[in-house]
Amino acid sequence: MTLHRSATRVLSRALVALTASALVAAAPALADEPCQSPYMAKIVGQEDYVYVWTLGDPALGAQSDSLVTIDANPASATYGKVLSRAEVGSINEAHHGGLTDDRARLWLGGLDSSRIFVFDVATDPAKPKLVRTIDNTTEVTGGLAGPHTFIALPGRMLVAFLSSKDGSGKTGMAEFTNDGRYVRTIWMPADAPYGYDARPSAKLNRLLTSSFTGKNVYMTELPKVLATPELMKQFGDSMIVWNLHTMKPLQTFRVGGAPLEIRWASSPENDWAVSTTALDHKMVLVKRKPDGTFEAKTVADVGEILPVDLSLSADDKHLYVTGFMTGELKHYDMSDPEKPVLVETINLGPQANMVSQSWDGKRIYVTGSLLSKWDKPDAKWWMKKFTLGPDGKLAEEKGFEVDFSKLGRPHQMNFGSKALYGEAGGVDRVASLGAPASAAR
Amino acid sequence: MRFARAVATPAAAIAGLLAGAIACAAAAQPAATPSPADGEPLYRADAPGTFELPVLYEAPDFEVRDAATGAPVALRTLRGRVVVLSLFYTHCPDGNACPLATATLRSAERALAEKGLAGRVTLLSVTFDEARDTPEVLRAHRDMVGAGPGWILATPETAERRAALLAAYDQRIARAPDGSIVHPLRVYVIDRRGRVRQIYSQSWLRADVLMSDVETLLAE
Repeated sequence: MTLHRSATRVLSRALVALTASALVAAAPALADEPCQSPYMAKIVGQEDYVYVWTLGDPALGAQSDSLVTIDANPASATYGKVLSRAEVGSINEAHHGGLTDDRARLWLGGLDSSRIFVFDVATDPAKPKLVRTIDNTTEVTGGLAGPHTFIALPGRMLVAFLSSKDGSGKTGMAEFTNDGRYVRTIWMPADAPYGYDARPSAKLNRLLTSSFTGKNVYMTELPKVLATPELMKQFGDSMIVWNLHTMKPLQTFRVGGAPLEIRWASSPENDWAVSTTALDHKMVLVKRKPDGTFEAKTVADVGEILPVDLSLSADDKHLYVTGFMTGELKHYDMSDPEKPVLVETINLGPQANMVSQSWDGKRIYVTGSLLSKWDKPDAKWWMKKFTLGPDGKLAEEKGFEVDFSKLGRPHQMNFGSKALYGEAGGVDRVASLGAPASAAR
Repeated sequence: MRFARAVATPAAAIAGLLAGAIACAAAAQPAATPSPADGEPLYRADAPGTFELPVLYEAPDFEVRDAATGAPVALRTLRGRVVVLSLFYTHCPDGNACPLATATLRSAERALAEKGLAGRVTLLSVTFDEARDTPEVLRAHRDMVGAGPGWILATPETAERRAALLAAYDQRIARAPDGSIVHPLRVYVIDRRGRVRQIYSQSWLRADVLMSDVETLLAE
């Protein structure tokens, strides 16, 4: 009996480890509103749209990856309905995406094909239109593959990759102009070559990156990865602090297996970021010290859930962690980031991946797909919505759930608003975020 | 009454920002690392020449009219100089946007003069609200912000030329019902060979960082 339990536990650990790797690929880099690039206008009121980058799956009748636009405004007659679905014409391992600093374009990446799709979301925000496809990403970047995180810098996009043309996890970042012209490639350091997320802090002039694995691993069936020790060795364990202005690495931390999503605190008085390691389920705090350098420390064990995505509220109080392996959504109180407190655990099962919340922290959206080769056979395809109540707990909005069973497997969610483009009501609903760097607060 | 009106004007907002920027620059001098609670900049600008700025793209040429002299100004004629291009409008009500750019350019103009670099750099603020920002309005704005000879305030004169300029520099604007213009703040640094090397928005724009980038390009 005891032996049996123990064996199950070991197996479960292995599975968790595997899943964690997969998680990395799926995790959105800048989906939710508080975690958008600091260089971007924010939707501080009710979002009108949720843009869902959706993986094509012929078994569902979806022959192409697509951008699915959901009506998210409860005041709308078509609330909760699919407003449009724009196919890109191929299946690319649709994963993450991000908006440009002016929120006029949504960049979406394919982890398998390495294609980047640029959508115009400004002309008709209810019906985004594909305006550019970058087919030769690996060629123009000098060998990068698997475009993962898309982060807006002023007037340009920073893309963090997972892999390179040989399929390994040696990788880097590349910059492009907002309309898709290649600017430059920055390889990760030789002693910490893996990549995943890349998150700027404007006020600190720092970029924080994390690490996952290469295409040889994330495009391999999960059971095979788990059963192949050579593949299991190919995961990164580092987080790097960079000078954002010069794009030079300053400090490298070995934080544990596959640190994936990174979230900087938004409050002006806070100077820390949080991440979770997929393979050994730690919550890691990266905090600025009085001398201006950073330290990294483990502040919690989130459990063997294979943590994949994070969402931190704009007031830095509520952290949501999704677990791919268990399908759980864990809600932490981060009032003291050194001592996170678990508030509640919500079962979404059998798997969960992306979580995005509104700027006011009242609305939380979740999707479930991670990677085509890692998703579970019994997974269901939906987008669910929760609200944060006055009691500080989440409640699912029954009746909202969007059925993706014929649309594809839903991944990253980005928000849209009509008010972004000068329509009436824009002043109340959209804040030009970012305190001026030089002005006294 | 007059005071209340004055406070509500962009001019007052700019004056306040200018004072803030100057105080801020003075506060940034001590070597101690500030904490977020200090309300000071949390990093020091990198020393000029210790980094490289990537080439973003060839700066598209354009022609505007200098509001002070009435002379046409074409970007192509500024080759050999570093150009700091700010797209703005004088009625901007958001103190974190155009007034911040104006305050930063004023600080930069002073710093350039102090370092003897004024003759090698052109500061160029071009309005995207040509109907209201007439040459007279721009001249008054010059006087108000104390722009010196190295700082050109200019107008594209027509809606067509304004639209072409904004499209070429990927700057989107939208007119709100109250007459304000929704726009991201953009300031571009163009090198001596006519290439865009840096783009700032409001969370990135600081006079010391701007100076560091300009000096880095001048040393190339």
